[in-house]
Amino acid sequence: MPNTFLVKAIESWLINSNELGYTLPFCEVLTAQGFSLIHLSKQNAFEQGKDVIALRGDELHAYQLKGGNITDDRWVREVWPEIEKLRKLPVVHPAVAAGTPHKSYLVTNGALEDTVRRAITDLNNTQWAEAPLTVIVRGQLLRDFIDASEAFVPQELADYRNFLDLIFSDGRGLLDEEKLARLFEETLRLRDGELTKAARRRSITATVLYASYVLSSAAKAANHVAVMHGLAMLLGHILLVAERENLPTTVYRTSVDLILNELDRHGEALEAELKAGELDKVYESPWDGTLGIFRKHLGVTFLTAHKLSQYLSAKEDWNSVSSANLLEWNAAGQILWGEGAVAAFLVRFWLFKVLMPTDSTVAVFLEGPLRDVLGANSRESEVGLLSPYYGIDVAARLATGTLNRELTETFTGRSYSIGLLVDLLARHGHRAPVAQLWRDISDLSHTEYQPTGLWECFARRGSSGAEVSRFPDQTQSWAKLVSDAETIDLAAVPRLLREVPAFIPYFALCYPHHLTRNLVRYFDETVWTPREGLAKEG
Amino acid sequence: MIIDFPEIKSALDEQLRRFSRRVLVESAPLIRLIPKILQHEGETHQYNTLDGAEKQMSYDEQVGEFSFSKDELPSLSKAEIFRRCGDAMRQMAGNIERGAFQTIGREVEEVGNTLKSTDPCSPENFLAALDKVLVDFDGSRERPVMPTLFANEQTIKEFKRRFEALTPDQRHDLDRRREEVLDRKYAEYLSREGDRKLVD
Repeated sequence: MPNTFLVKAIESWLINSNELGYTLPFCEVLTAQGFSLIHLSKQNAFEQGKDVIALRGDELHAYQLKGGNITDDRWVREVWPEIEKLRKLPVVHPAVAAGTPHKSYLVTNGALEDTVRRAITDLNNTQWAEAPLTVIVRGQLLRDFIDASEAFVPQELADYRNFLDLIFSDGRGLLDEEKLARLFEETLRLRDGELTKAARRRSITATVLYASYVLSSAAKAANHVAVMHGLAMLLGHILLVAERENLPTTVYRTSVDLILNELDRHGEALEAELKAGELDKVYESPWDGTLGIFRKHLGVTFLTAHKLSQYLSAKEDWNSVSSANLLEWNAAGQILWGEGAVAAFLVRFWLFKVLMPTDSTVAVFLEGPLRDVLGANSRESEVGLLSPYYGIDVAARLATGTLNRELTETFTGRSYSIGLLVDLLARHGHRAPVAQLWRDISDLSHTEYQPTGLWECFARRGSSGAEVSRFPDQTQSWAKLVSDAETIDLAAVPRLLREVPAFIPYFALCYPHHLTRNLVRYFDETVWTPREGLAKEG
Repeated sequence: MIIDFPEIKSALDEQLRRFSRRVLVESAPLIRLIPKILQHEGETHQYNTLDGAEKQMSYDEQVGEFSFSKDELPSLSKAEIFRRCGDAMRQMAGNIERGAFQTIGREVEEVGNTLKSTDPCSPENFLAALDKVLVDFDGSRERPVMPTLFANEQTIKEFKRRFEALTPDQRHDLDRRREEVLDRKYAEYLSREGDRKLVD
């Protein structure tokens, strides 16, 4: 018995999506059906008429994706010429032997006008008879998406309501991270430890689809930061299950790559927005006098994460934004709204360090927050910075007096970030600020969560392990500090973080409360590992 | 679009709405005393007065305006937004109050119940005013429901000063004459209340 509301929700999402909106779930379903994706066009750029190329066995399949109904006029003017290219031009790809024939597909989330349907049938019976075009329209897409989603629909009423809340959320704002994590935990069946690998594969596919449904309102609003945040959370949860269940790469890797590709696409759209001067347009209402800086901060932070991620995955255009532009945007959106924001400073530090390797002033991205955290969290201070367990939404509510609950926690007397900031300064040889501040540094304990299972790093909240607080030595040897900062315990780094370095900047932003000193040292080391074919200079 | 905070903005809008209503009420003592009725449908409101006159309510649009230039938005604080809103609400309250007094004045003039005096703060004038208005009683002669006097701060001070300047004899005389007025008012009250009955 199909879940009527789920069917309606998916249908509504599909109708309201454009081709970019359903590309990720379409590819995910293809993968679940046994296809291996070998090409996914960037930003839907038209490449020989082929948006997606996939292999199943020896068969090569090429897809042209369209959004909406295809009318007679649109067919003649736009689609037919592209289909001719799709059919006629051979697939040129390193994974495919030259001259391999391919099957051609026209996919749309709309319908074909009768005249178009007839035209395609006629062509398939005549001049295209040797390599006919297969058409996939909304009905079939809908069936495929429902089939892939239905078995993993949230089971409990509360979880289902959580899913509905996310579906109907305002696409212009931040996603509710807690609700999103709960949805992924449910659709990935994290509480079920007995799932077969095949079922795990299906649950990953379903989770990617559910993520597409709940992110669609943000995607429609072109709210790239929220979509990237949601995709990063999705990726984190897929890595969680892969790490915990020690899944073989065949089970999760295609999904990971698809999500990274989607992150990249939204990152590029965000970059285009910032280049078009959108940061200067955030002052839309009187409240933006207070909230504008938070909006800018998020825009710049996710852009820097995107560029660093591109760098870490050796993408050629990682340095497509000049250092001067980035510095200007960064200055406009720099705010240490809590210790959770230290992660944003780390991402900036790493990106600027690879963009401007000889510029020592880049250390300001470490020294600045270190001074601010020490000042705010000192034992004499009345109110410390929000711990990394509180997000920017809480900080913005505090700044605007709209927080509807009381914060009873004490934030002074300890810090979740001084240890890792000191480590980075030591790793990069910045002795002077550390020496100058050591008196204050040694007065605060560094606190971090150390999970029992490394997979818990990817959970919103770990369930086992310990929160560990340590005061630094009162008298500290610089040589020992540097030596400690250069020591990395690889056994305490999740396997999947080592396998997917492109996720590191997003991990830092989505899990700032799980940034241990060891992880940050590892991330720093990873950034500095030379990447083949990339020049470090913006 | 660069990510926004729609929920926080709507919470701030609500805070500002509540604040503006509070300032409005606090700044309009007359309005505070008048029962508020929301007309949920229809385009006009008809009513009759105690003396049987048929009336139609006219609606006055009341607007409190405050604005911000685009240039000042980046540095605009929440406190400044509330300050400007407060100023606008106080000005709007003044307009509403003035309008209400003008309406009352017109109505009173219409029924010939206006008291004109060259010395409005005199105790004599107070007695004459009392004599003009309708006074209810809470069940007995000893419990008159005295009308509320609205005047600006200076006038109130002057009233007090003039009353305090009375000699004991003058005060006694004034009290005696006030009781006489209230006796008459009580008789009118009894007559009014006596008329409230069902007859064949």
